[in-house]
Amino acid sequence: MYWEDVRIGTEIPSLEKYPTKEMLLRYASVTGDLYRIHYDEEYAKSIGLPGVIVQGGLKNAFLAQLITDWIQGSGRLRKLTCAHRDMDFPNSTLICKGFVSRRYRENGLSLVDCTIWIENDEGYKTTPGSAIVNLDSRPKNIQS
Amino acid sequence: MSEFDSISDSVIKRSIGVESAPITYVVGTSDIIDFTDAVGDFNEIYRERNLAKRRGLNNIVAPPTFLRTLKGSRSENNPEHLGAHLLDGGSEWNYFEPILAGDNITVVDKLLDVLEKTGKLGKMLIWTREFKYTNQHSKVVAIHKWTRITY
Repeated sequence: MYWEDVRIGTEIPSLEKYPTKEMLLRYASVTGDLYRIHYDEEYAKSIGLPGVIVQGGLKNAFLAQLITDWIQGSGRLRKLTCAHRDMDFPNSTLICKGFVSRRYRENGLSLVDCTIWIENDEGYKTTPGSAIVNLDSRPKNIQS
Repeated sequence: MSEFDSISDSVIKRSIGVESAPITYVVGTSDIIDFTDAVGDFNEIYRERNLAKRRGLNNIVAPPTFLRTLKGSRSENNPEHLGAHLLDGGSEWNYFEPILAGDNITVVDKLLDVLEKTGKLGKMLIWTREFKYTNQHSKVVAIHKWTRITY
């Protein structure tokens, strides 16, 4: 994929993730974030949550994967943002989606802005975000 | 008065802009693989050195949010951890250089800003902390602005 192949509105192939309670525990372990709302059901309920919730950092990693799976070796992620607007829960399907919202050249780089988000299994966008990706430009001797 | 109200304005004001002592980590191949296993990302660029080399990199690369595993200051000493409950509000990452296995990454963090808001959780404080990651070549590889909410 080259920058020239991408258009405004180009959809990023969606990525389906299914965070289990085990995954939350593993993420807590590798990041050292041992806040109990992510693995202790009783504690989470005691502070008013419906149950344990998926770490924001884990959802952040899912959105990063959405982009890196899409670009593979064709470019580099320059910027990634996400806002955790609502909670997500383990043992439910989360779908990461996105599309290209702008394509431009700046400071010699071939860039695209992407609108990205995570949807829960009811289609609600819990985690909106954005990305800026530097894509390779097609060499002049290679035709589309 | 909630536990949270006991965080005085002066404690917060004293903390803003104060850089933590730098901490340097060596990025290990197994650390990268453990992280990608944990998040379910099995892209070979995080595991196959030969693939990384074909893409012009000297070693396997770390995924974008791997840097969350490299802690800055001792977080339990930060004022946002003195509140009652803490939620992740979101992140902004800027990436400048690839992070490779074998890199020495130095982390420095500082509290940028604190805002008070009232929302569905009642009185909330919104804390933004910046983490700056620098490699062994003195190049800043990434900056992470992490927003957290206490209530």
